[in-house]
Amino acid sequence: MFVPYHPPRSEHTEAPGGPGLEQVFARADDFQRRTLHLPGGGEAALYWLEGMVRTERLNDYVLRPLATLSLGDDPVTAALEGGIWAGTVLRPATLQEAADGLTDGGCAVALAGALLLVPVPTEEKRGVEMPEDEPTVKGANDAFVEAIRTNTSLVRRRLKTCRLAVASSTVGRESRTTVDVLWVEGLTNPALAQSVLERVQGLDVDALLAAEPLAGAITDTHSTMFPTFVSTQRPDRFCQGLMNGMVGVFCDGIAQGLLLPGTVSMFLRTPADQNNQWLVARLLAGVRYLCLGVSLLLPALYIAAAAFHFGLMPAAMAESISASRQSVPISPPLEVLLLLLAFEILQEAGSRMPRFTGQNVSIIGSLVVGQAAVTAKLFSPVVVVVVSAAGIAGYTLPNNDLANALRAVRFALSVLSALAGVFGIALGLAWLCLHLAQVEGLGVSWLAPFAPDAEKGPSAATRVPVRRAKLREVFLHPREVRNQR
Amino acid sequence: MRQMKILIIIICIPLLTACQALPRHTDAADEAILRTIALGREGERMILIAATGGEQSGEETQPPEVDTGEGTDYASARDDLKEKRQASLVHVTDWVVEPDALPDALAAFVADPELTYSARIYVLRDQTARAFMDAFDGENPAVKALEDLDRAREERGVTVLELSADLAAGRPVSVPLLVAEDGTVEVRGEMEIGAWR
Repeated sequence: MFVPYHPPRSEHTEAPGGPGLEQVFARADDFQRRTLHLPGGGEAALYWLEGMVRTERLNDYVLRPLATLSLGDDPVTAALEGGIWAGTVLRPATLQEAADGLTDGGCAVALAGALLLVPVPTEEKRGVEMPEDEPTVKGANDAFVEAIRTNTSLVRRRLKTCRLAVASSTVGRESRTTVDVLWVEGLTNPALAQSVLERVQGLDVDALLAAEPLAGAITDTHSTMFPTFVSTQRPDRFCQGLMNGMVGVFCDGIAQGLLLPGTVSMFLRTPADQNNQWLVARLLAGVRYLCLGVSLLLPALYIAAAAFHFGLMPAAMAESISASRQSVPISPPLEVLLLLLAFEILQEAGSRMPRFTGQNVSIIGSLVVGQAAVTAKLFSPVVVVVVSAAGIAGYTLPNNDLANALRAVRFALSVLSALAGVFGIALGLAWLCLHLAQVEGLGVSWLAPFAPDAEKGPSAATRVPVRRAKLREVFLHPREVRNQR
Repeated sequence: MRQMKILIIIICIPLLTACQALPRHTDAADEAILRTIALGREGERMILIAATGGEQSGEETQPPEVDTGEGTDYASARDDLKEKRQASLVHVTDWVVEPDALPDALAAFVADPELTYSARIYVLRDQTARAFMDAFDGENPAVKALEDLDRAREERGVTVLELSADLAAGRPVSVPLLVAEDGTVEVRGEMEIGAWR
């Protein structure tokens, strides 16, 4: 099918005016118009979109002064110089600018042949709440919201430096979404910040309504399941990323901050790491790395051991597995693959359903159906333990995107193991290493800081005592490498 | 290009399987996990009697399975056993051999990669391999009796590795002489082996 080139958006380049606005919003029933007789003589017309402006502000800052004050012979200049009681009064150059101003929550005032724009937006938004995805016992408990300015303010409250740069762009032909790129001037690698900024500004889509298309356009590698950006709800984690030399991105309407580029060590850190004693944090990070291995390899290793390399197991374990498989009609590889599939189905069912129903589905699925399947000798209890252990180990991973990618790789490794045992697993792991070595975000290897050069930095071995954590992420090439004396 | 790669992989898997380049698939449920092997000669025939340890399945304990293989030498006796029953020799922990079958047992460890050198080895005193295995019933497997014996003696039997290493170094080795009766095993002296081959 022939798909024509995405044509450029048709702009209203004509001079702004009240009739023009009425024509632009002719099909919009929420478009409002009001005519006002000025005390000094003459008329003014007010235009706004209902629901986008705050009525009290419109009444107090625009209507009241226009209705009570005499603006003299040159009402436009008078309005611009204080006749309208608003912090900002703009004079749009084109009709398109005026229309965009209205959709941003502005009120257009047609006055003496000119059109003025007064921003009086409603600020209805969700309050700052606790982060649902990244909870901690200790430390801050505020989370980003959908309003971009609230998010930048949450960052500014933590990083009060005037070096914090916020570059705002509008992305999306129709959605006209505000996207902010944040970095610390003089600290962050300027090439990194410039690269992100250029890619954000070069993004040409109809509507930007989710974080993934934005991050996908910014990062280099597209044909990978592994995440190349860190997505966080937590301002403290976002600020820590900025201070380590990363570039942050906010997108209006999305209650998350993106940190770029993402590398493997960043996906295995939790917000609690910074709030725990460093030895405890290090120990728990070790557990997470161990769980990553368990989650990825346990089902595949079980298949290899039970179906191909029975001699790998100690005698007692071999006897136990052999006994548990008596009367089970399906082979170990098929048993594991079917249970992995069932686990994924349960997980999807649980996450798609309302919270409380979802919990019930998980409990019924795992306990009742699982137990019944074992009792009916459809599956051996050892396989249920293996698949559950792998699944639970996967839940210890702090990053949901990484956990999802590992779920897919776990399945692939299990299939390879079912075909060729340990040889298949080795083949799969070799492919995985090759693939991950190719994944890059903004020119930084996904495997950093472990590869290609094992560079020392705070992320190389999770947490270290504060007095020893003197360097930022050196693989990001920050302008200021040291973070303390 | 990507589709081509996937196609090549899909074609390669059955090809490799057909060429037996990939490991053979087995099922743990069908595999007899042999724990004890008794080796002896009956005339010119080599007799290999192997027993499992008796598997614990929930509350129930399965009685040990005993299978016999016969042949002119160890290899043919083992093949005969494996033709009758899918069995794994990897987990055999105890070898009980008649004195004249000891060289065959040691040669078997050199030739058969499935056998583990950490297995313990005993020599039978005035008892055939078949008689030794007949002394055990379903409730009292040979592997358990041998474990009890080691525990009672407070020392472990000689492993094949120790035996081979000492013989290779020219040192004589003492191997326990066993007799089995009514489900129990008793040590009745030791046999000193000075050389092999």
